[in-house]
Amino acid sequence: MGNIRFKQFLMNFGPQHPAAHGVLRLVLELDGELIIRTDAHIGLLHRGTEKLAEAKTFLQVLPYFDRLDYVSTMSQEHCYSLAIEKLVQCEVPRRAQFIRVVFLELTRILNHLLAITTHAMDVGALTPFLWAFEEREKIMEFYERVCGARLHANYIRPGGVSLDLPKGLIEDIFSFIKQFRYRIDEIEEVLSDNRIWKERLVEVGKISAKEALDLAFSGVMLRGSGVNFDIRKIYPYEIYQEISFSVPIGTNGDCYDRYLLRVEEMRQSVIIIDQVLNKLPEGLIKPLDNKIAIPSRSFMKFSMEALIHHFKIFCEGFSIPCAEIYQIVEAPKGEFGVYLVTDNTNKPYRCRIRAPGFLHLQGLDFMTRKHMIADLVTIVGTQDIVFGEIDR
Amino acid sequence: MNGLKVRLIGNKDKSTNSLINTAFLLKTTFPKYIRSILIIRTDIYVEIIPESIMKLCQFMKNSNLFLCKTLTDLWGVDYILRTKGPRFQINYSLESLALNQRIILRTFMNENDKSLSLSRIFKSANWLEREVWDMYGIWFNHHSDLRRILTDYGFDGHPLRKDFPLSGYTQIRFSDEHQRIIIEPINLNQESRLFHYNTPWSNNDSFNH
Repeated sequence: MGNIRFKQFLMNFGPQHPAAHGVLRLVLELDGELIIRTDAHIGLLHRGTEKLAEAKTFLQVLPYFDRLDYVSTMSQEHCYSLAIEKLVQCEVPRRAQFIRVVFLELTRILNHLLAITTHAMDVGALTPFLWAFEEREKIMEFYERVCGARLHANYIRPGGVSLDLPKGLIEDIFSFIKQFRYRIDEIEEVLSDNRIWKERLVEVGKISAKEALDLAFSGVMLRGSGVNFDIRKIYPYEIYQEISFSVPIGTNGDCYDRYLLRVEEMRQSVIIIDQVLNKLPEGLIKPLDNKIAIPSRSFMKFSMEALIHHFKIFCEGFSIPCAEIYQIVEAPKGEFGVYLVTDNTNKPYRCRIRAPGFLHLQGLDFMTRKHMIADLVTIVGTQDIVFGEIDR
Repeated sequence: MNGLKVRLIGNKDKSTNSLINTAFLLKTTFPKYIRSILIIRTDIYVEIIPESIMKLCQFMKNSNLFLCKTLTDLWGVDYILRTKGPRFQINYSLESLALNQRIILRTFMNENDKSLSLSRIFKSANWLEREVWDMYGIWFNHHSDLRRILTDYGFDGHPLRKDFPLSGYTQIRFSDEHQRIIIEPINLNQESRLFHYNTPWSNNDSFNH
């Protein structure tokens, strides 16, 4: 029996596999159960966002960003809005910045809840998934109350946010984060010391800091390997300099470390939201410059000029002189970047979207080598892959 | 010093001085390779001659002056109306964790020019170069596996080129008759309309760029 060797063979994984997190097709080269090589075939969800953006006005492009990574929607529209704001040099009112940070961190929680618990589901623990979706439901309700949409928010607009917080929302977010700490504890109780969970995650998908940098990993994937790189700290935007929060760093660079980091990031998000809610100032939520921000509906009822501006913004939009910008933000999945070229018209000449997942998925081949097929599912889960942003 | 000028666009802030230092360092280290340096807000844009990209990246990755260990992004832009010089621009964004700076190298090339692949220096260049090949049709020499990445199997054309129409040339559907997927020329009931409602007068004064 000792002499029997399996011939290497090819296996197709996906694109319709529940552990593939969407439409991932992998062609695996196997030696028995050992993975020799992984070839990812992506592009099954390619919608040509970058091409479409070139045919839309600056405001019309914004909703496409929600549809990239559809579990961390606001982070992406925020990145695009920041780019536009820098191009037209418009100041964001302070209240709007605070509201943005609250919702950005809620988005981070929303994303990490999905990432951790679908990962747990792939590995075999269904319960945390059900608990997390209860919490996600609450956060999506906050989304709904503030802008009317549960998923594709289109809330953070160039210049500020589209609507002010409705009455009572601050109190509700506050009571949510008060109880949410215990929900994180519950998820940790089930997973962190769980023997099966640890056997599946510890020392699986290990990646060193050098390799992670070489593969251009970002976010949790990079910090898990011990590199202190958080764009909120290094290239601060909005009001992140004024808030005290810490960035958790991993030591081993394996899947278990990245799981712990995501949990800790949720706790840090809770701390951030707590601080921001307590400091939330009064004031405007978008600039008074009606060339960029839409005038409010009630104001339009008696101001002819506001009506004209409203009409102009929606049929023509605003033009931006020839310029270019590369804006990065710390999206929940990693570094999300937007590169815009403008050419004195009302449409972007080029809109490049840098999705963190694209580069993470590229590292899948490297990370899965010499692993078993079952570990592949763990590694796909730890990369927190969402196909909307990878295929764009 | 040579005749290179460092141009600064945008507001000065705390990081600007260190950016200018890096720009002058680049300028003095590679006087022959660099065509121009532009500092826009927090990024340095360096236009280089196309042949030098490998040497530059190798040096900038390993030298203690820059320590650009990561190629965070690589993308193309199609300047179809550019009259002087080649049409496509390739951008390489290098991140230096030590300096906390981002240096964007850029070259211009035509569709028949062959760029050199950076995938031996930075692993992250692999898929990014495949994407540029897919979207713009720019070939990278010495790339280990330059296939299309985002478009469909058997796709024809390079969609992000400016002369590629938004609607594309073909459409795909499942044919009951043939019992398979067929690709046919695109058939739109209505022309796709683009509304070019540009103001006849300039309203750009308000931005003070």
